[in-house]
Amino acid sequence: MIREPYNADRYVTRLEEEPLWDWLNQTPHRDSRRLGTLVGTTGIGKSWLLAKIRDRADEAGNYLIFWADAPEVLANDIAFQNWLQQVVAQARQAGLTIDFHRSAQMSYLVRQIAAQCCGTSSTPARWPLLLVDQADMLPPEMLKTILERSLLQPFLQEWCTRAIITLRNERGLAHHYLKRKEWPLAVSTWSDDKGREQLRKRNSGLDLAQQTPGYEAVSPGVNSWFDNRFRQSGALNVNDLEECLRERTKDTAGEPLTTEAFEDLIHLSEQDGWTIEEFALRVRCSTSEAMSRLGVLTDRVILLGPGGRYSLPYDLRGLISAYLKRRAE
Amino acid sequence: MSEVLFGARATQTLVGRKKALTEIHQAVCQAGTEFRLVLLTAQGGLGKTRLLRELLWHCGLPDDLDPRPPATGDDDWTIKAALRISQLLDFMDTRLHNRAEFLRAARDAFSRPTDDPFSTYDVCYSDLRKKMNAMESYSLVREARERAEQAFDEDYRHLTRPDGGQRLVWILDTAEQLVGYFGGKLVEYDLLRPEDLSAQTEGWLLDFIQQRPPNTTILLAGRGQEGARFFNYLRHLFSEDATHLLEVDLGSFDPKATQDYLEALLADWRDDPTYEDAREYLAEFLGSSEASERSAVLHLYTDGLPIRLALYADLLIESAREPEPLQDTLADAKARVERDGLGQVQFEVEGKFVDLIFDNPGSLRVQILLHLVRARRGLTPHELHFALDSRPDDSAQTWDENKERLAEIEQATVSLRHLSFVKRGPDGRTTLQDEFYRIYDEHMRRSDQVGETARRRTLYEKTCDLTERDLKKKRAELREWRLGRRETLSWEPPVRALQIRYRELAEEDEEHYNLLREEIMVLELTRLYYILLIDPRVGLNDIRYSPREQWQLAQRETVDTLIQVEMRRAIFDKSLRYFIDLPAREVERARGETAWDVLERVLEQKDAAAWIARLFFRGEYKRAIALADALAAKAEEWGPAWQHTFTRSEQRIWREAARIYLGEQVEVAVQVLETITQDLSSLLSPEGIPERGENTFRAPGQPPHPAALSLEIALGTAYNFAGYGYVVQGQFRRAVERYAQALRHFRAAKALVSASMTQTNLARALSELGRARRAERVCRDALAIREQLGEPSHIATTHNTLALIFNDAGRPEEAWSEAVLALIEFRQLGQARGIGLALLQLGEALRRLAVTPSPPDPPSALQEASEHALREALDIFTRDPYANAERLRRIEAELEFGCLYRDRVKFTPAGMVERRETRANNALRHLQAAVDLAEQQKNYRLRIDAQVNIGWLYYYWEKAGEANRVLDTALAWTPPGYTLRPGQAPPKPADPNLPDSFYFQQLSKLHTLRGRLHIERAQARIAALAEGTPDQSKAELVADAQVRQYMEQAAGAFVLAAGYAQLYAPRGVSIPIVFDILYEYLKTFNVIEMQTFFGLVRREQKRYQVALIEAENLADVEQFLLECFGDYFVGDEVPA
Repeated sequence: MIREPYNADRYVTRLEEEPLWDWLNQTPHRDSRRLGTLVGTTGIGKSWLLAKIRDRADEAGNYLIFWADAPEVLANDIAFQNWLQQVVAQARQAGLTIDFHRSAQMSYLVRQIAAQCCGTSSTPARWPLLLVDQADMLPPEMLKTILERSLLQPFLQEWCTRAIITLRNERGLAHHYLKRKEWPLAVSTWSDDKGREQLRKRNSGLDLAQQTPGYEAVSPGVNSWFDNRFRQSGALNVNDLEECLRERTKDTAGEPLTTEAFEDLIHLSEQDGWTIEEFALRVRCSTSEAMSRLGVLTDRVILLGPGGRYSLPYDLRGLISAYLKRRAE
Repeated sequence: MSEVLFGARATQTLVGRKKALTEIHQAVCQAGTEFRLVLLTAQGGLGKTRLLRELLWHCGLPDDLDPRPPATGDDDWTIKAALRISQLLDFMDTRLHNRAEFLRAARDAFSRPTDDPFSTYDVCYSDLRKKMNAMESYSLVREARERAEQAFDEDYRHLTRPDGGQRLVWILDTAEQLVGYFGGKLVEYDLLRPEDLSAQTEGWLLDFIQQRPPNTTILLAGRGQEGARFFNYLRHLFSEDATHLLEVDLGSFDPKATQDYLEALLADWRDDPTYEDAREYLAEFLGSSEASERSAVLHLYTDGLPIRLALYADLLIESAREPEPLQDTLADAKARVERDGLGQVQFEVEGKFVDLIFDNPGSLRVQILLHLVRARRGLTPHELHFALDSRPDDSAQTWDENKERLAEIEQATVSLRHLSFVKRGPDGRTTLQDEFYRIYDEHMRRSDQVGETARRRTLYEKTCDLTERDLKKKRAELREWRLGRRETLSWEPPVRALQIRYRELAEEDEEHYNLLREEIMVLELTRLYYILLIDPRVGLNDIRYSPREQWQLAQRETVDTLIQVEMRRAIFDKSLRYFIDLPAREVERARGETAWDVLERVLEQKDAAAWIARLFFRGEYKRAIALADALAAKAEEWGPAWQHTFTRSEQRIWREAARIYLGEQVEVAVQVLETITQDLSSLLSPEGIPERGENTFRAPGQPPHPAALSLEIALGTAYNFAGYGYVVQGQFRRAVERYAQALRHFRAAKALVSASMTQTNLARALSELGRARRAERVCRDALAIREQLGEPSHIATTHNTLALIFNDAGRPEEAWSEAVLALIEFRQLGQARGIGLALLQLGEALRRLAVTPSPPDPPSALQEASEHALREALDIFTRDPYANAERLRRIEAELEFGCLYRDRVKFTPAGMVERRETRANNALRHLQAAVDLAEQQKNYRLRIDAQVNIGWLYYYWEKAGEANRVLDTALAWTPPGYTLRPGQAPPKPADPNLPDSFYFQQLSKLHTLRGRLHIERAQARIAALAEGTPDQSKAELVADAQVRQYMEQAAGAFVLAAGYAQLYAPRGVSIPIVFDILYEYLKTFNVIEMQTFFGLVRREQKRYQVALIEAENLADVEQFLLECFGDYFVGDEVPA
């Protein structure tokens, strides 16, 4: 989906915000879970929630906030070094004494920053807070080496640090230490009235019931996408819906679904919860092929339900329903 | 991470079992030659098999997946002790439950590629195979088999001799599987005797252990609870000398072992870059300050069960998020267990493990695992390939295997076997550890029982489909093989019939043949198992899928017992039931029963009847009767279901069949069978049996009772044995009726094997009634079916019946070759009864060939060949322990032997007085033995047959007076209703009060002989008169009162002979025989004699009213239908 920069005026308060804020406001200690992971599908509003927390923390004034847009600053060693240089500068601005040597090990440097932030007293001047957006948009190797080993693990070694990262699925973290520190929070679709509130705040003239029948305004990202397109063309047609659907289902590398996978998606929307065998029967393929095809989709869009049943997220089912209705017209 | 589930890999180092291993080391390596028994008992998942693999590694037989180098130094137990350890013999392989198969497997398990410790046994076994392939006489085969078993014993003793021998260590796993499957309720109630189970490994093993062979350690591993009966019995055996018994009870892991396990995992991954992440995770885990506490939590939640620990460890390492309970502190964990209960916590964690599997559907390992976990019997790569890669519309019939993909699946399967919960099953199958099945089942039961049921059904249906196809292919291959083999048959002239052989098989061919038959058996068992899971009612009742009778008939008890094992596995395994959609029927609900309650009971009932049948097929008829009686006595105690007509009848049928084969109260047995057929027919009628409160199995407008097919089979079987009972009594007309009815019911149940068996029997009975063409037609039909099915003993039986038909029809030139085909097949199979029967037919055919107008070989040579055949047959039916209980066969052998000598008397030149006397006495001895035995057995057919043949013997022996005397006796044995009497209406052939039609046949033979004697007396008188008064005219000579009287008697006798022949079988061979003989006299008659004889014949015909004989109309189509197919008439209104 097109990522819209965070706009506080357009932000709609959501249910996950308060628990997250409460968690952040608990006094940390060495054994507490200090890594918040916001997990949710594309366009569900993780980044805006993270940004909102950043704003609130900033407003509270007692946090030293380090923000990282992962694909931008953690994609390779040089970008990471550059970002760290900024972080050091930010820390120095906050009155901390940290040396920055490009030759130093990055993890060592991170640990140093964290240690400096926590200091020696029981309450640091400002609580260090690391916010990493779109963590799983990183290539797997970078996710493991830079994000997990060089950034999160050394940062969280110090007792007073907290980090929040956003992930599209749960397959993010492998490191033992991070798993132990994790405080997971699922970010899910919101209710239709929240969606309408979002459109109101955007001053949108879009009538979703008319333009996308079957889709309730449950996904902020999809709502924004529709609103933008509506503003451009004054109406949404079937091609718009298809385009939105393809955007919504791109993988972390931005690759759209293949034709076959797109068709599979359409089939999967026909019911809630498929066994592998039911799906194989529906698409007339072998069990193994069905499993492989579901495997392709599990990484992006499919949710695993009880008893090994695979289903689509609610917003996606609505989106497909709208697309099919419009296509039928 | 290159593969999923890698964290559940079995560790190279054995963890937490040091004490157990040390104890076992003692039992294996300690000095001394005494016998030692080690019982390694534990519940499932505690690592018995892992421990056994460790033991094998120490003894130089590492598992092929064990990556460790061979044990050296102190680890090598073979350095300090003279040891020979067996490969792991796992009783999960049901074939090992059979004693012969087990011994063969034990031989292989103790042998090494470079040395053969059972060389004597091997020589004997090879000799046995050779003898069977060379179709040697059965007694030689039997001796060879016994010799092979002795040789095993000798080799074993030599190997373990106290001075200089080795200690032999038997590694036997899953011993709990060994018990309980064969006896079931019958064992529980002591209705089976130890000797009944002697063919099973259980019996052999107990004997072997009781002998306490020196220098032997037997390590029996199994689940203590499930195998309690077996293990307790062994404990009881050693209660006096407990020092020879070592009990190793594997307990749960302690917290330290739990941590050791994780460290062992870490050590295994040390040098492998594939596991970098996992290694890092575990290193962090174990290196952290909370390591011991976390291990304690793991220990608490896994309850110390190693298999569960492997899964939980994998979950920690692989899953994105640690399951919440596994993040607990020890205090929290204890509180959680206190609050939720351990089972609930385990369920929660294990659910995550199941999710982990489903979350990786693209992984081939996961795809395989998700199929394996639904198929407890295990799957082969071939089955997995079809299950995974066939599309919904694909049928196995048109499915093409992709070799590359198959290789990929094989590779993935092998890689899965490194996991601690994956096991190698028999026949290339991969199975899982029971605890893993339980975890998955429990999770799916609670989360998606309906979906899982459907998934399993799809898998089972696919596997069945593939198995069905493979069965067809293998059967066709076997058929091809047999045809090819038939071409290697080097036919010889009849006189060398006993030397006819197939070309000796190369070892490779023999292996191929044996493998094919083995594969067919395994496929049938596989199909049965999956049918049972798709629809247990069908599996239990549809004989197409549980052809026990096929194997019983083929005397392959091993297979019959394996079917029993498969059935019990499927029906009694309660965990399978969650995923089989089997609602109780209305009547079952009304009784407060579940469908499974009923199936369990039905299986017990079927097994009970099968045990009687098994004893019957073993030839242990008395034991079969005793067991049936014991069961009948228990019926009341076991509840009303055991007293149901169907249940009682199923058991009773085999009891009565045993009585018939024993020749005891055959008439009564047949009457009981008749009652059974009426009862069972009532259960198929719309009314049922209301007076007993038993409902019909086929209510109009409703689906039939699930056991309706079984009932049809039972009814067919009852009719079949009733038919056989009538055959034994010589009541062939009734036999034909009953066989035809049996055929109808077998066809209704699609029981091809039984139907073809009955066709063979029917053909024989039709032949006895003189319907040779009809008999041949039916028999050839049966042969075609049996050729398709491919069971050699069935094919052989049908060839033998064809031989019988040809012998009866006076066509020995066709009979002998059919008998040879039967004989060589039975010889190869080593089946005594079959060999004996084929030899009887061959002997008769050769005897008859010798007296044909143009014998293909010198008659005396043919008779000698016949004698060899009959001598062996007589030996089998007299002395063979497996065949001598069927006394009827001995009588037949004696009778045939007597007939041979009788013929030899006939052909012995008058000058060779002494030889003739010897032969005549031999004939008399055998025929008299037949009479006496038949008398004892109250077998009036064979008694009068033998008696009339004694008459003929005396005739050829030129002792007319004696001949007449024995014929008078035979006549006196004939009930009055069967005789033609002057001035009285003749008997009617189809009169139901005259069922013993053999009397007509024998009376025809008897009067033919009488006619001969009278004519020859007349001729002798005429010759004497002519010599004394040469001037007397021909007319005067014939007018002599004595001559006249003899002529009158002769005419009367031939009229009667022809009349009886007509009564017996108008198209049979009896009438031509009468006329052939008569013709030979008549052609010498002069005009006066001819006129006189003609007149006398006309007078006698009038006197006996033979013109009134209602000869059967063999052009009656309805009669033809009835005789060949049974009574399908449902009323004049022809069904649409």
